[in-house]
Amino acid sequence: MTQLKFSIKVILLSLSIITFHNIASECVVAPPFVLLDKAEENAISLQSMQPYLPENDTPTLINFWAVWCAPCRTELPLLNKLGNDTGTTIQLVNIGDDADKVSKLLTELEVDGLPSILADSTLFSELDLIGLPASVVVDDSDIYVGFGKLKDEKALSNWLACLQSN
Amino acid sequence: MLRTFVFVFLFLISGFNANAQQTNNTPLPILSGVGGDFIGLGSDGKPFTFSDYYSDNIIMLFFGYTNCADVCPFTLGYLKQVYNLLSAEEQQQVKVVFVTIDPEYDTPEHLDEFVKFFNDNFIGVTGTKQQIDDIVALFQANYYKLSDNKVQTKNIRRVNEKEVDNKDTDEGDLYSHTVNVYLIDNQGRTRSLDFTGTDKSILVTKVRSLLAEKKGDKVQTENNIDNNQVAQQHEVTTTTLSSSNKITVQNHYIPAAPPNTRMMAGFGNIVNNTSGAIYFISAESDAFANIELHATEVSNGNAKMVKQENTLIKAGDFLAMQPGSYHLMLIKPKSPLKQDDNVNITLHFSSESGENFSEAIEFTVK
Repeated sequence: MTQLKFSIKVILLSLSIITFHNIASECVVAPPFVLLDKAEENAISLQSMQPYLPENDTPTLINFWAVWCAPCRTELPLLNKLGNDTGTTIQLVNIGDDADKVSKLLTELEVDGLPSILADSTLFSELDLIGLPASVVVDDSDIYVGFGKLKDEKALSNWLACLQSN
Repeated sequence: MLRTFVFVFLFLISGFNANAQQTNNTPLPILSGVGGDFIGLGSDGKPFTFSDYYSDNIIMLFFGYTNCADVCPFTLGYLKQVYNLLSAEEQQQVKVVFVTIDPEYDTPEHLDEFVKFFNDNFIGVTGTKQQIDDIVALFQANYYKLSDNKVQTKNIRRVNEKEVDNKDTDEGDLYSHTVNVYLIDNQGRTRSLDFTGTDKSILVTKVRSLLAEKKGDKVQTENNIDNNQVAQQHEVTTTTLSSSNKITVQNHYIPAAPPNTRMMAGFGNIVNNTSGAIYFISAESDAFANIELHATEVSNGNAKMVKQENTLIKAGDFLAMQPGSYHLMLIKPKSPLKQDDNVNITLHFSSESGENFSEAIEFTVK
């Protein structure tokens, strides 16, 4: 009997979490990124992304880039602007370049205010990405992937602002 | 005129040849029919002859381009990381060769500027369009203008539909190409096909196995050891890469049997090159009334052959068919088979997702 009561409690709790989650993630703006729908893989990816995510769980855009990648270089100022305009945390993840090359370029492009991490390609591969640049937006347990150079600044800005306001 | 390209990648050859050979401590298979010697123009501005490079080195070769407007292939970045995992001594014997599929844009100057982002030891290769086409064909690689509609959009990974729809606009040509990394030994033979999803440590292990082989060659020659021994160690294994590249069959043969025999056997390793598990379902051939996969099982001291169905071969793993173990039971040859006869056997598989595929493999009677 105690067990049954416990089970019911667990079910009710789960339901309330699911309902709450649905309300929380209701964003009227259609995401310009692709939502990954594989729950199991997401859980692993989320765990790998923990070091890149802020402690307060706010929506975060992780941008994978490299010095040699021309479209990556051109979108860095746009990322800076998106962060400022929408309040979204922007996390740069540079893959494979030397620290001095990275800091020199970020200074040149006047985006040295963005948090930047030097990494190997483990997470990049784990997310099944095969080209640069690539951006990933993490909102609670949802992972959205944008492959290639960011396009349509307005749609992206509206969407990020919407995620931020929820 | 500077053309802008929108490039899209495909796994046209999905040869995810994982670490099966390594864990079993056998040499990497020789992928006959993939690769060979070629000429082009190096990023140093000098004529490039591939055999000059591979004769002393282990090569990691791939196809790409530098003029990426929206998406840059990550292969060179991946190979830089693999290269950095090698010791300085190993690095001296490993070369990374980047063959452009866009010779019009990728002049030696462009290539040189680009590969310098990575490592001074990396070399880019360009050439005339004909030379590049020849190299691409030699490696059974592929690139298409998507505007030729040769590649179905459903095969394109993670690209917004909008971008694909733009293929007819002035934005430029939409390309797809092979993203394989070809691992090539110091005799110019392709030994493994990998891609940027291959765990870096696995590729490093493969490179080291080829370096060890190369070192073995040298020691043996220097010490002038009995030639038979060398031949034995470097026995050229029969290897057939199936037409779809999904499987490779190694050391496959049919032992010669007396005339009028009603049963023969087929042996060899079936390597699963795909990224998922596959099931070996059945086999058939015009040369035999029936073929079954059997395994020899010993119970109470008696060996008995048990028919196998839907045999699992994990991703990158292989099914070893050998005397005393798994084998193809070739039932009732339709006509007598003698030494050196070739027999086509069609192997039927099913992928993890339930997709069926078949591969015709030629077995030789020995």
